[in-house]
Amino acid sequence: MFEKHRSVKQEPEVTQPSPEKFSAAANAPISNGRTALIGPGIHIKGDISGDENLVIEGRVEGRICLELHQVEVGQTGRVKADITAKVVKISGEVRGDINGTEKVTISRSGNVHGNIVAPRMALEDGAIFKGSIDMDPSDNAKSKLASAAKKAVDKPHEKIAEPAKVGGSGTLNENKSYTLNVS
Amino acid sequence: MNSTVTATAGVGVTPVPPLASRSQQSLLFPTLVKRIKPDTRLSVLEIGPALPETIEFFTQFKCRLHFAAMYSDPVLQMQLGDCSETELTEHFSRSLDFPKGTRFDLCLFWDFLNYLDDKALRSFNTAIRPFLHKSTRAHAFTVRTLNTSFANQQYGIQQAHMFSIRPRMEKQFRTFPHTQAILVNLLSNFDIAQGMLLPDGRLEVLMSACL
Repeated sequence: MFEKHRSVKQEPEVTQPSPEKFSAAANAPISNGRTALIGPGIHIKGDISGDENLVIEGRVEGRICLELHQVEVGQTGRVKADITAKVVKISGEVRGDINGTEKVTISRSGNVHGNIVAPRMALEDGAIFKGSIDMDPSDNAKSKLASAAKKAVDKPHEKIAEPAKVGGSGTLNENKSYTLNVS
Repeated sequence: MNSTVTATAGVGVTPVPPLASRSQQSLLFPTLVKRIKPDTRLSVLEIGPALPETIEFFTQFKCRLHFAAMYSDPVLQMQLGDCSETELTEHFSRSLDFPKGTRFDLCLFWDFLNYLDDKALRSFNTAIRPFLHKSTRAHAFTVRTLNTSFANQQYGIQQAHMFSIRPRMEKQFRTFPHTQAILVNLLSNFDIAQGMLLPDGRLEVLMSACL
């Protein structure tokens, strides 16, 4: 766990980018070379904003807004806050809404109660999530997958059981047919 | 569950089901999927936990997916005590605390309704009422006969005609199987529109709201 965060912290050398490079770095977030760490013994109440990535191993209550950067809540991290960031990775506990402008990932040790808005969402097996996810696939993906769904619908199925038509209001009715319309 | 499975919404990464998962064909669910209009925004209630394959499945739709995680809700224990119907309704209302204005087009109940006794099911029916509209549809498992048992498992959607089934990590609570006749009586917001008897005695049903 700690090795992981050490590597995140060490990743790009902690060197100050030159002024020319700095504006480019703003357009290429998550790589301005800095990562702040809130350690396991730290408890912060209030809003957090800034211009570098953030790893949270402690407790934060308030609001976190790092729109161009990455926020990672480590396994020991406990966050009671809405999070806005380019990339959000959750391995700890979060109570609040998450807005990931690029991607949100909940790892297997993650526990999230809140609503997520993100163009890409990754949920590892074993992760605990309660809340809503807003999805709006691109036209491309939509048409591709809609055709896949239609294909699945039209695909002949293996017979798994003798179908028994079931009538409404608790009565069996062999001769009644039903139509569903989902609007 | 010890697996590295991930599902990525919005990109074409297909989740690989964990080794422990099984599949179950559905002849009815494709009927629901087929009627979803691709351009309309869909509001979906998944009564169970968030699973990677379910998220992946719904990436094909413009939708808001609500995971209620009710299988791990204290209500399953509470109903075994001496809680009144009103208390259970209040608890459900707190648990189903969806944003104001939420109206579900599709509810995935799986076998959850069979984990609620008559009183709790009536309470659930009352609590979920504000989140339904006239065209709400639902999918659930019920039973043909009361001696049918339910395994301790959770469901996901791999494809329209294929559900994933995984063992649930939590302990299994007592079940209260409901035949369709009892179900529609207690869950009065819905009527059963179509049913399919499965080999194990369960009944897969599609329901439509009758508000």
